[in-house]
Amino acid sequence: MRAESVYLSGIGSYVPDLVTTEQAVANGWYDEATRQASGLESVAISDTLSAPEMAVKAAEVALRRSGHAPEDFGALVHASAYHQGPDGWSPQHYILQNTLRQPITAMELRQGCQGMLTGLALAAHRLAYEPEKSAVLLTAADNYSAPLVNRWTTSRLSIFGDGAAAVTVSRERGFARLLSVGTHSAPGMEALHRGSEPIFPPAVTVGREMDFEARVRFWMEEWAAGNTPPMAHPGEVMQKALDIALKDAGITLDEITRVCHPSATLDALRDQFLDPLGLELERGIWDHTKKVGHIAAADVFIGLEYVWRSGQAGPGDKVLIFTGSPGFEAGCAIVEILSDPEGE
Amino acid sequence: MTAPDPTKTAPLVGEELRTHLAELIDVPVEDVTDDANLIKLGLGSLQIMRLITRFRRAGADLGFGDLAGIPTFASWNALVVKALEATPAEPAVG
Repeated sequence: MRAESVYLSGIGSYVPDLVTTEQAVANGWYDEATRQASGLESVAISDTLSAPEMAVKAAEVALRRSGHAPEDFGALVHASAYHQGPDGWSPQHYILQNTLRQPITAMELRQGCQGMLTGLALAAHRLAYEPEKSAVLLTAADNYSAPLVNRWTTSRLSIFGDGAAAVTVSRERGFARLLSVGTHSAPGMEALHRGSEPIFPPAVTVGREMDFEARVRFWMEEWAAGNTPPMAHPGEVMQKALDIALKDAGITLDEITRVCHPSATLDALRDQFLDPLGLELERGIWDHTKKVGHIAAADVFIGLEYVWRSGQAGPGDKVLIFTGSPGFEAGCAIVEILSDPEGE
Repeated sequence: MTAPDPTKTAPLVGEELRTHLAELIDVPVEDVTDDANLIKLGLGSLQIMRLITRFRRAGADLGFGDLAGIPTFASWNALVVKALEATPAEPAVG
């Protein structure tokens, strides 16, 4: 998707207190060998604030920086990967009521850790066909301090962090201009992320834990027994999304100054994505992602705020944001930074 | 890409591949027989991805799907040899 006249006018995040991985090992939450191999130093954890409450906090910052009035907004899109609150309740309208408080549409976008990036594309689409409104509010938040998931052990690829991000997408102005969004999916991989679990009744309704590693074990046993898993290389899928994003932006990979990637262990980050894509660790945000954990859909936008606010990306710099989601799907967005943050 | 790729590595084939696989899995090289199932030996998916990057940097254009079907040393070695033959020779750097 080639974007025209679509800007990021505000960005904000809420990252709760960090718990060091050393402390986690000392507490017996996971083991030292895994900790050392991961390179991860700490993880953001909120024992008290819910995901929608954190989304409100992130949105307050983004709205303040955006300069937009609440009436400018035509929609709110809230991305989530995990449960937000009561079933049959609308976290997105809770966020709307506690931020813009406008009688506009609000929707939840559940696309794993890619939801907020996809929200960027949806916002661009909306802005193209809603001339009386000039902005869309995107939020993303998750909190894994819940009984049916163990953030430390559910996946060997990352440790799940809590937190939120918010972006205001504008047709008028911004600190960054959206150049393109590229996506590519490998739907056959849904079976990989399902493993041997039944689809029905839904896991949470029967009190079954979210355990990614159990699915990995299932497929490795199948594979060892001669049944090839329906797996594609995440890096190969990401490469296709990246090719689209670069082509639509009209630039080459060499022109990308900074890369906002998801938080993962050092091996998972390199083996799955950075090495196959030909990206050096130094162009990424490992110094940031190793400290906060994998904050689901908010992850890469917390990263974007980090590179912009820290001055690692300034006017003229093109920033690649990439992430993936169970599906498997991969998404890339390319933005050009237009201005430095103003003193606050 | 016109600049020489600093990450370019020498091809990984034959006994060198077998030794590399044994190191990746952390088993004695004798365990990596021609037809031993590498997954059964303990090779993980991340390690396979790392291997694919290594193959590609040496000029063997192989994907995950190529290797997944028959995860044995003999099968992968044959695939690498074939892929290297299909690629015009390029001097390896580093």
